[in-house]
Amino acid sequence: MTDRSISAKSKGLARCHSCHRLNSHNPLSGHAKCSRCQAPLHFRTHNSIEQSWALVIASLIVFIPANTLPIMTIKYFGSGTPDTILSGIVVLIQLGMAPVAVIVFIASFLVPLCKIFGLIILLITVNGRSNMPPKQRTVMYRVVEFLGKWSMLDVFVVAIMGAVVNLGFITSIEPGPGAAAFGLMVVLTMFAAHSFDPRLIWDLKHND
Amino acid sequence: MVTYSTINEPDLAKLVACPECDLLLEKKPLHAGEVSKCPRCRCVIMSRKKDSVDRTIAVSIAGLISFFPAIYLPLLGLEAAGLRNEASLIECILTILNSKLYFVAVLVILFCLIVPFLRLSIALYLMILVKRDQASRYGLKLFRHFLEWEEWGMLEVFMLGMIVSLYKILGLADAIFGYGFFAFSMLLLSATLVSAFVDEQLVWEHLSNDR
Repeated sequence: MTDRSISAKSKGLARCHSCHRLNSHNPLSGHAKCSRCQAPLHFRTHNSIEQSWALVIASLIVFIPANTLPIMTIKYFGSGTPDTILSGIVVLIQLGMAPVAVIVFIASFLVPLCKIFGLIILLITVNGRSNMPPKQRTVMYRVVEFLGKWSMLDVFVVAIMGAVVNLGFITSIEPGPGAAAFGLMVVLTMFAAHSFDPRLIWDLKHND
Repeated sequence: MVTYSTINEPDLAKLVACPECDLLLEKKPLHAGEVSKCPRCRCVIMSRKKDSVDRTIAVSIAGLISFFPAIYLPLLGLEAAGLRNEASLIECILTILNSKLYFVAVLVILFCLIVPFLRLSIALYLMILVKRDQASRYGLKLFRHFLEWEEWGMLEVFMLGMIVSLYKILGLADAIFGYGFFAFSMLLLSATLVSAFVDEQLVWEHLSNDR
């Protein structure tokens, strides 16, 4: 059945990215709009691959300060050592909170890395030189999309801890610049996943 | 499977393309509670929900009621050596601003305040339009943003952040739950249910008179 399947694009039809209405679309006619909701019309996301690559590379670069700069400093009686994301996880384990440490490790370290490398794999395989079945790659795209926001966890933890843990001289928490770098990285990976158009995965199959 | 060689405008309304693999399909009429999926990549194409409009109105009002207690009442606190301190969502943002981490403050304000508030308000407004069967160009634009902003509403991530913080606080001192924590839980529940109850197809069809 896959061999006989027809894409909307091959019939000159573009699906509106926002309201799903099909429109007949002539790419030469300039800036077309959806007949129902007025969203700009494209067969595929404009410059999807280039934009996605640019954002993935940017997020890989920001991944470095996000993990090396301190995200917060816990102070007891006026002194304390700054913690990065990874050293914060070590502290959690030392406090005997392994389950929480696992959640933070997954959300703050594994998920962003998997997202970045997942997108790189999708971007490399999209030109068709891969044996990875399109269905499997679509599932991969869905996972990357779904994971998106969850890496924001540590940024919110820093915001909450900074305000709650504040007993003056006894103990307080000072948020650090790593939180900003980390937040930026998460936003960049979300935009990168957003600019990747999953329909490109299936386009080569139509051309066969 | 579609076998048209030429497709004219009236037929377009009967067709639909899969959002994730662009397979061209004929629209199937759905009964309430039914979901149609792409035969090739299993992506959800359309779903018809039960009592979508009334349910969405109910939960969006509930969400808007719990919004202000959720951000102004204290969420969490700690107690040690006879001292105690509690903080609300607004105080969290002020602390971040005091630390000069403006970008982080913007992220929290956008993802935990503005986006959830706007989505609840838009949902309520649009459902009233749908109930009155009023077509609205402006409503269509709002609904587009409502859908696009879904992934930028991060109340559930903030909730997990509070739970992780709670464990971290327990490592330092005694922890306190504030009333804000319960209001925030209500807000999160309402925002999640709004996303679950809104029937996309129904809203597009009613607001545009395109059925």
